[in-house]
Amino acid sequence: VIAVVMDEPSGGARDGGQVSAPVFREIAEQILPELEVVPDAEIRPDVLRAEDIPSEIEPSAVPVNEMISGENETPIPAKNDEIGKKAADTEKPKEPAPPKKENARPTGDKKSVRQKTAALINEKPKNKSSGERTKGKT
Amino acid sequence: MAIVMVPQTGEILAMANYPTFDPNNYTAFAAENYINNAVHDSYSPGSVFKLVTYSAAINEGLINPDGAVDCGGGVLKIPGRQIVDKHCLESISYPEAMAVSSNIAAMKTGLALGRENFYNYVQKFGFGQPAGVELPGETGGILRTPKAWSGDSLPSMSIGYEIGVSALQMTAAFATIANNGFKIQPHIIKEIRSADGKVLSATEPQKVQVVTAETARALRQMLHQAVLTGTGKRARLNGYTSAGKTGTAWKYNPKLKRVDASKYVASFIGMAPAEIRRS
Repeated sequence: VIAVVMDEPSGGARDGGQVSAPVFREIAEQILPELEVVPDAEIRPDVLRAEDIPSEIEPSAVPVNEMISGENETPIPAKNDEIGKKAADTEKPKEPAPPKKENARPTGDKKSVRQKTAALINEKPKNKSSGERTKGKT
Repeated sequence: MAIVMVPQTGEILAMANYPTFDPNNYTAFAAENYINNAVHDSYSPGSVFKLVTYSAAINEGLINPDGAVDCGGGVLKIPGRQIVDKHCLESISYPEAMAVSSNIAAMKTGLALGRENFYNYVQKFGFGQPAGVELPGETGGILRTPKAWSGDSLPSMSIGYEIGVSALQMTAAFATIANNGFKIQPHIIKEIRSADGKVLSATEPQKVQVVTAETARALRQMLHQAVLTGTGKRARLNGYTSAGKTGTAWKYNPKLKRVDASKYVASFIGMAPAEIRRS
């Protein structure tokens, strides 16, 4: 059982399904292989993986992100990992600048890292591959 | 904050808080960051608490988890106010009610239970008293006895308001459902060994049956639906089935003396694998 509770998440979408569920997913997908839990569902290598979600969700609370991507036992093309890392690398320096898509949803609040995350999570396409997604970013 | 717990053993594998602090350099951080909010903080859980409401009603045989609930046009009158629920207008199945997080369906379920019955299950799930982990400063949350409830307390509590819980209590309640109805006392110490490896003491966590295995299975099915088609879609995993519930609770604003829709506690509590086929 994994619980994710956020007190007053700021900016953009703020409900449990939008901000906390993706964190559950990120934790679960890393921890279950680690605990040697046998997968009971189809593994979809083309799907947007937790590692590909920008790590800014809680920068200092989730420092294991990049570390794990190398150790993950789930069969996933190495290519994807590289793209993911590259995206993470290129995105980080941009952090202070307001994210492009942000303009589409004016909230009036101060731009924050969390807001950016929420916006990104919000835009996360339902069935797009990580390749498609990162293409747009880089 | 985040907690990872093994439901079968009660072991807490991880517990995290943010903002955090560095114990080696704690003076550089705000004092409120020292607090382990996962056990210390008491908050209104909101919709994740519907787990308790439905568990109780199914366990009491008051609702049939394969049946449907009629939301009466999406409007429910309760003492003092009227609840409007755009997610449930007519009759929907219980898994669907959980998936869309219908407030009226949960309130009707709570009302069907009645005060004492509902209160008993809330207690049995471990609310109102510390979960008993070996960590300092654990809160028991806030649970008033039915005598202190007002006219709309029962429906409010059915959807996770008018009650204060800790993240650990809420986690333990979900773990009870994951563990076929048995609540295991959460703990962080497995055993204590001496320097030469002799086991001095081993933790034997308390184990209490709260609901039947059958009820727990029905709940997992409902929680699985929430991840498949409902508010918890973003908790779908690659390679594993998952089940869980979202909660977005408005916070009480002491200045306004009512809940304030601009401040939320946003949560997701879930389990994987969902284990709906087995057991």
